[in-house]
Amino acid sequence: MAQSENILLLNLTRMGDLVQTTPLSVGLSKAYPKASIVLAVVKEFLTAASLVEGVDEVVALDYNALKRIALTNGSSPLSMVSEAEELLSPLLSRKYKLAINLTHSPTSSILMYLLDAKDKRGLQMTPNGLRSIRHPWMLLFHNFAHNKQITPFNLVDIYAMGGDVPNHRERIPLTIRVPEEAEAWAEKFFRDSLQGDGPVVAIQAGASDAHKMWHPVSFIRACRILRDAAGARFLFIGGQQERELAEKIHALVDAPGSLVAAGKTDLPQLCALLRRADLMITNDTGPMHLAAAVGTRVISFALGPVFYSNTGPYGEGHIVFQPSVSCAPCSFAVRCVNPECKNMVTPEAVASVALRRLRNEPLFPGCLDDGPEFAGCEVFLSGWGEDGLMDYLPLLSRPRAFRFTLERAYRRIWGETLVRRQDPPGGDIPVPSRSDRIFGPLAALEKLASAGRGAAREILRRSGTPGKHLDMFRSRLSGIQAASGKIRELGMAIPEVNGLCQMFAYEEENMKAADLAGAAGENVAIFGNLLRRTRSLAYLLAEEDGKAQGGSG
Amino acid sequence: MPTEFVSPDHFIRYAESAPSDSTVPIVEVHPSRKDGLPVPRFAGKTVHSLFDPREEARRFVDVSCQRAGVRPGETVATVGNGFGYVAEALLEKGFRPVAFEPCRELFGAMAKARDVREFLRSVELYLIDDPADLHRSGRHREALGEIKAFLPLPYVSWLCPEFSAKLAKKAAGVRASRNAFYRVSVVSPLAGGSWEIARYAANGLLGNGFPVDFIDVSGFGGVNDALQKFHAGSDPSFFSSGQAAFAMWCSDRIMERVNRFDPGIVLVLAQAPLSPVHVREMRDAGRRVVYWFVEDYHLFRYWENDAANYDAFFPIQKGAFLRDLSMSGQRNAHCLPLAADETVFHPRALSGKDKERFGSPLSFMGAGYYNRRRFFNLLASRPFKIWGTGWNKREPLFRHVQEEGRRVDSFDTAKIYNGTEVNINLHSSTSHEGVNPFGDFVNPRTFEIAACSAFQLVDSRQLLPELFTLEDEVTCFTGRDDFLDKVDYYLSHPEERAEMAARAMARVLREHTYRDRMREIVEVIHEICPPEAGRRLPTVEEMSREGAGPEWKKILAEFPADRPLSFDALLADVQEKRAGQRITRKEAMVLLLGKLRHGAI
Repeated sequence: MAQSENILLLNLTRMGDLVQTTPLSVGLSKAYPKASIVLAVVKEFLTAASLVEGVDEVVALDYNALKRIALTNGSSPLSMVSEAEELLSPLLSRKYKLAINLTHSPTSSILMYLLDAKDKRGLQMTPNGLRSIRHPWMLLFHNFAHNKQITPFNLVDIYAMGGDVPNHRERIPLTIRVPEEAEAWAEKFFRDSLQGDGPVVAIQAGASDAHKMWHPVSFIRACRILRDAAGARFLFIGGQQERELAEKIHALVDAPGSLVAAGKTDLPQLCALLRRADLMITNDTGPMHLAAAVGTRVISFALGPVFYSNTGPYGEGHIVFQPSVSCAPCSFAVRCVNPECKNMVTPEAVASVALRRLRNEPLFPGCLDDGPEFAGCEVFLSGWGEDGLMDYLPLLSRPRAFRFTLERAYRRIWGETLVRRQDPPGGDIPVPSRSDRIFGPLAALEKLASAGRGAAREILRRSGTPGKHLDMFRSRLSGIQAASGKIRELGMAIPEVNGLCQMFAYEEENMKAADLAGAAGENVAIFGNLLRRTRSLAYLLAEEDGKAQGGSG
Repeated sequence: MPTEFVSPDHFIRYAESAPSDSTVPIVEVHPSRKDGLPVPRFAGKTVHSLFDPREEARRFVDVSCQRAGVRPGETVATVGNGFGYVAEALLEKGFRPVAFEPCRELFGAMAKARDVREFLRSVELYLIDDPADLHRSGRHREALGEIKAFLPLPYVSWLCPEFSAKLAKKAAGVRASRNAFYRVSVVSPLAGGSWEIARYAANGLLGNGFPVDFIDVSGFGGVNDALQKFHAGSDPSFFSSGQAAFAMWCSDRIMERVNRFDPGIVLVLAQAPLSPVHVREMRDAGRRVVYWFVEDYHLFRYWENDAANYDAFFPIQKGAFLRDLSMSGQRNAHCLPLAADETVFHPRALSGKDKERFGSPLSFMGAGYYNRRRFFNLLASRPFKIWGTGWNKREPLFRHVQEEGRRVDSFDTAKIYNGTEVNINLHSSTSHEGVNPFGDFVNPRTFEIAACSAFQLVDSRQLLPELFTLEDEVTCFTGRDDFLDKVDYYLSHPEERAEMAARAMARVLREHTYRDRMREIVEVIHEICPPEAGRRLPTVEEMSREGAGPEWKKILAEFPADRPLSFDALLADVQEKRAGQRITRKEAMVLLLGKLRHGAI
């Protein structure tokens, strides 16, 4: 096979993100059967990477060694660079047909620059040191770092669509390779070690980040309810560092036939165990994605910086609890000192949903009666959305909050634009003149987008005879710059419209044209995109508003 | 006496005022038999040939230079100058002569016996009492660095037996450290006057081109006060054990920073909270750990236990202290006076508002020590402003204290010095009524006032004549009477004030900046315990030579060839690359490592 037939997936994140890469890797291996799919990961997650289906080769980058080189003092910079080049040579010494960066980090963007690839997607450094993000889905990937709650797509789909894997049609599930020996080990473990015959619920109480952890006491209370109501047995899983926590919970739940597996399994064995569980209750973690990948139903918690639709379990029938508090999800940059969101998900609510799942009672949007135990949270059920991608719909029968309406409107706009590749609905209908909290900023945004597009169009019309129109060009260019600056400012001030503004900013950053006409043409398109999306958002929100008023009237 | 460079224009001073010292033999001058040239003679021994000193000098130069392997055009030093015949022979044969003369009387006799003006135009001559003080002058340092061979004149070996060896050792230290480029960590104390000095020292090192990590622990300074308040009224052992635990905690933090920065040299300032265990660990790791003890050793005795832990110890006093240090186990002690940071203390014109606020005919800026609170009552009826903390509000003198005795930062201090006609500089004492008659070290204020080209009246200090020429660059007082006389005199003689202040500033800029002191520290370290080989960064030229490819060669061409190039300097250069310039692969790797170096992933 020619060297240039390599396709690189650069994913320098954690285990969960690697598992979420599988539809992309599987889709690419189908689309390019002759190509070798190379997955580059940090060395610590080599085992997790080896489970990823569709990958032909894993390149493990020793980032710790790289950091050691970077922190060296008193050495020649030339020798430091030379050592780093040697460490990175397995990645950088070959050619790629396509390279996709699935990482947000600054170092990954430099690695992308250094790669010899024909087509590079995602975050990358430009030859003059600036930031560039290639591919519309990768723009959305970066947009959700800033605007999680108004970018309601699952990371799995974003990854796949970023590689042009049409997952809205193919619906490739998460899939991992679990070796036979691991399956045999798990079979024996279940047979020999788990006593009794109640349903087996896997519990993952730890997480890489304490902000993502539901209170251990809540786990205990939920488990006790399930123990008493369904005779449930528990398998407390996790890594070695979570073993102590698992043992404490296990002791306090005191459920017959339960066991602590935390710290006693390797990754394939853990997958095989999870496959045999009837349900998993978990924080948003790597094992959550493993469970989804082996087909075990999951109940998870989107706490702290986690947002249910972005990284929730992928596949049909999973349930995610999301606290209903205005600060959730918090920013990745925030270290919350009073994580009240954890208290808003009650053990009673979790246990009641888990019992329905264990009893195989049907679960569908709106099926749950709103009760006091659900007062502080929303509960979502995963499934395929109208646009063909993973979606999460509310299980509780209660009126929709505005933020959910907004979220749905954004989903529709990006769905039409990026999945169906057509204009979003209502994109040519002016923003209604209303003075409430969202329509005012949308009207301002419409005006700015319109002004920017108008100025760009004028430049484009006269770009054939630039010498005659220098003053006009200067004036219109400053108009474009002013509009662009105000759009960014508006986004910073009004979070509800920032999803549009941030996308505009990214598109503007990624302009490619080097000549006046080309740049003006790109500006026309970018301001035009913003204008249509703005109008569409207003249209969809007004439509929803009308429905609500009609309903109440 | 200080080391001095004798300029052609000032030699006459030596001829006229050659000091008489009973320990030095009286110089007799005899005419040579062949040409009647003057030949000096000490206690029955002649310094040059009584027959033909010039021919003797030529033969001496031929033999010595051949033995030393030096070639015409190179700099050669004579150790001892005598009446200059050897230096003149070096000149004749095309060498560049430098002369170091340990005997001032001999030079005084030469200046009387010969017209030395022409001689001094061609020969750099230095009068030195102790080669240990050679660092003090930037000019000496330059000369020492250039010298390819030392030719000791025979009389020096009997007049000052160790002089030649000391001079050669010093020169080796200076030469070796000349292009040294060490990373240096400077460890500050939690608070107090030495904190400022730590900051100035770090600036001085940077000024010399050293990469510096200023480990500033002053942010933790409030903890000791908090502990004291917390344990008020309790058994004092609670406070002391808390304090010890806190000091250890600070020491751990310092250790983390040192390990992270990986310096070749660690400069620890007085009272820095660094445990001996960590000092040992640093030394075991091959770092040179040195201490600048900017304290009065009589008052602060902790050096007795601590000094021996360090590779070298730099007090601001000498004499008996150096002997005591040696007895405590510290053999590498070297007096390092304080200095001025010329970037902070420099002449400046004050605005009208500042003039009103900070200006005064007489000012003192400093803490209200006992001797000052007593002595300054002399000025109670004069237009006198006092600045600084620690003044007693209940004492009548407090009416002179400005702005409620607030803490004055260094920038306002410089304004005070600049705005004052006569700055009073009385060294602190807790046990004297005024001037400490045994005071030795010189405080930073002396250098700082001088660096502002401001005038000062300073109390007499034993080490002051080594640093300034008395009554030429600074004027001193020893007691109440001459103090008041000089106050009145200089208040009414502004031109004399200005001239003296200008000379003092020139001296500071020439010899007494923190850049000079830091260079001196590195030179001493080189002399006594050079850091382990391999810590020096290769120079750009060396890197280019060592197989750098064309891409590197192009990058390295942007940097001075004879300077070392650190990773941080290279990173800064790549980061500042102008927009539009294409980043090369090597530069991208530098950026990548830079991101990781600064904690990004």
